[in-house]
Amino acid sequence: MEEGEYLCIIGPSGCGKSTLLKCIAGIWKPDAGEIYIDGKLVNDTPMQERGIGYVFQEIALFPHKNVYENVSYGPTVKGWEVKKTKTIVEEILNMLKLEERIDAYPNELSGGAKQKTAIGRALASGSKLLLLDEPLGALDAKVREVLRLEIRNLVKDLGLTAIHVTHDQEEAMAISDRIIVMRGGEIVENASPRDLYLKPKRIFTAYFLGETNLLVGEVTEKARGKSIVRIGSNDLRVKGKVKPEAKRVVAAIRPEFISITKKPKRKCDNRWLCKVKSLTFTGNIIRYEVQTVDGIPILIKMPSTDEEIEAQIGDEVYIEFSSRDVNLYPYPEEGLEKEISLE
Amino acid sequence: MPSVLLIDVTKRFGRIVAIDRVTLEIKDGEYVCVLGPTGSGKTTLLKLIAGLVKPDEGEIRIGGKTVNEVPPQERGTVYVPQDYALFPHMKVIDNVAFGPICRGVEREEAYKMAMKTLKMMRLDWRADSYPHELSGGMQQRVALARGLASGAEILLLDEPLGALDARLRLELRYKLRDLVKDLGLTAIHVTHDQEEAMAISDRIIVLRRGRIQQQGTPFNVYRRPSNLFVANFIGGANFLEGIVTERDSKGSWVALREGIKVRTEDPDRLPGESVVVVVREEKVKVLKDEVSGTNLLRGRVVSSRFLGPFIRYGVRLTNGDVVRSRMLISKQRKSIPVDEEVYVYFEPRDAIVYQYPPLGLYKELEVI
Repeated sequence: MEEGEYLCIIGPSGCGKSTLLKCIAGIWKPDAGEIYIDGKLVNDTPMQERGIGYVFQEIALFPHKNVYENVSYGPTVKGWEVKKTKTIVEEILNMLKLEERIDAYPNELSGGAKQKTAIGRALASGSKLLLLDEPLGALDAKVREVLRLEIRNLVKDLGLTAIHVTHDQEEAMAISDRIIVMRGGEIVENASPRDLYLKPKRIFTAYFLGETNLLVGEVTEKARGKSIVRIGSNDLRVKGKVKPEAKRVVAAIRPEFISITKKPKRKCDNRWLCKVKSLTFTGNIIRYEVQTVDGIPILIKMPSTDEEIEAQIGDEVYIEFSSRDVNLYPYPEEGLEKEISLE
Repeated sequence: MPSVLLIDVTKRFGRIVAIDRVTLEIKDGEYVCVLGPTGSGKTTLLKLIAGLVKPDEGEIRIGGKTVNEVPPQERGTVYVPQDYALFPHMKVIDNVAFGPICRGVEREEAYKMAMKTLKMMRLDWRADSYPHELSGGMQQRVALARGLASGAEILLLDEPLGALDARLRLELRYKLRDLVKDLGLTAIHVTHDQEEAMAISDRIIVLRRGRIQQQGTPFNVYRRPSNLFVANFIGGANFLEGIVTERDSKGSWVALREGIKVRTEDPDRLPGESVVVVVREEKVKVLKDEVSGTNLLRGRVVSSRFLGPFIRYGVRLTNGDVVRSRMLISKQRKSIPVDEEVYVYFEPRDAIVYQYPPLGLYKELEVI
């Protein structure tokens, strides 16, 4: 990873994301391989000499020290000049918007303010590399949403490099320059949030990151940058070809790229007759579960508007989606179930 | 079949009022989510119904019968705590079958049921493991399976999906709801995840500082939040401070700072009143070109993040206010970069107007 980059590591429980972070931190020693920080091999360098700040999910502050004392702990122990320490700690507290809470003790702080203090402490020793292990995991969803942006801005403003482990995919997309997807101790994919979400190279990524429809079918036709895939009794038109030349394929379509209509008007690459099985209001989105004439379930997410909900359970509707919003993969050798397994 | 009724229930812990004069009815077969920030009294509410804590005031009825003095095991409820509380010396399957066997269900039947429930939780393959051999998320699923199989008709679920990975949480939440509905149970599910609450509940109860802020269907709570706290807590929103300048039969005009005018369909607030105009992030469009419309405000993009299904923008208006927008990726394929001059737009009907709170906006929105 590059200096100044904000990297997120995501993956199911037990995938090794925390272990990876701990190897970089020096909490664990690798059994094989080399770790370099700033061009220097650090396999045998102890944690405190690696120039890193580490933030845990369980917020570990000194309960008998106030915010200022917690944040200035590192510099004080290292015997920095009092004046220099004060300047640095105050700057960090200002950036974290904690300047008004410097006298508060941990038990007087909200969860968010506590975790910010922990981040401040990790930064105060002058670390340029910040390792964050589920730093927002213990916080309320609402607080998490605000704090994640504050952390990113802080890292960017101070020119730091950050590696952030999370199980929250939206959080990863919201703050990172690049995401690493792990499973079973291996890196599955490594790309920008946009590429990972819109053009994932692996079916697992498509499945793990957000929600997606995975449809299995046979390629029946290939011509001029378009393929036709037979899915049950429907034809699926896809832009582009499958690589390698597979016959059996998996088509991945994000639910937000499919729309529902009762009276088709515009021209559309893919229009299938379906029956509505369920609909759920989730705020800005309505989730529809429909079934094709062959009984294949398809998930659709449509923006909720003030108009009456267009379709009801049991209604026959058309689903529409563009050929360019479908990603095609050769059917995995070990089967689809295995490919998307979380273990 | 049982319904749950709380009448004017108060519970104090020392000086802290955890539940403050709560009156609430939960119907038989209903799936209710209790939503609120940490410390709002959600867990206490569940424990009151479970009989694990006693109310200081008020009455709790289950199935029409006052249960204030009835011990937990005789209430027909099962409480699934946040920390799972599995029997450590028992295998997963024995943990799940324990309740039914205690109730006198035949062994074979109890184990069949236990296996079925474990299968739904995608844990049948770990039936013979001990709890300590499982991850936190797996233990939580065992606890859920045990609750579901217990035979109790009222499930009290405390953050039942909290320890799970996002991907699994998403999948299991729908399964959980379907299971509860199929079995004809009543569920009270505590969560701080508003999306989860909206996706699976028949009704949402928003709690803050021990008091009910609002209760209603997800649709109503989202569309017509009863106050600024609820509007902020459920779904992202913009909060624009201003003063009503004109009112007519169709709505009002509100002047934001530096005189930026926005149109609303609010019929209630009078000219001169200080107000907060609330606009949901997804109701705000960020456009590169001018369109005709009333609430078309000029600004500059200060943040632009790809979030998967949508792009989230921050746009600084000419008066310094920052407006946030969530644009669906299916409607805007290419992100507009930071520093670009843009227009933000929202429809007058999407602007909800509240009286300016006496203690200030910040205090009102605080997530505690």
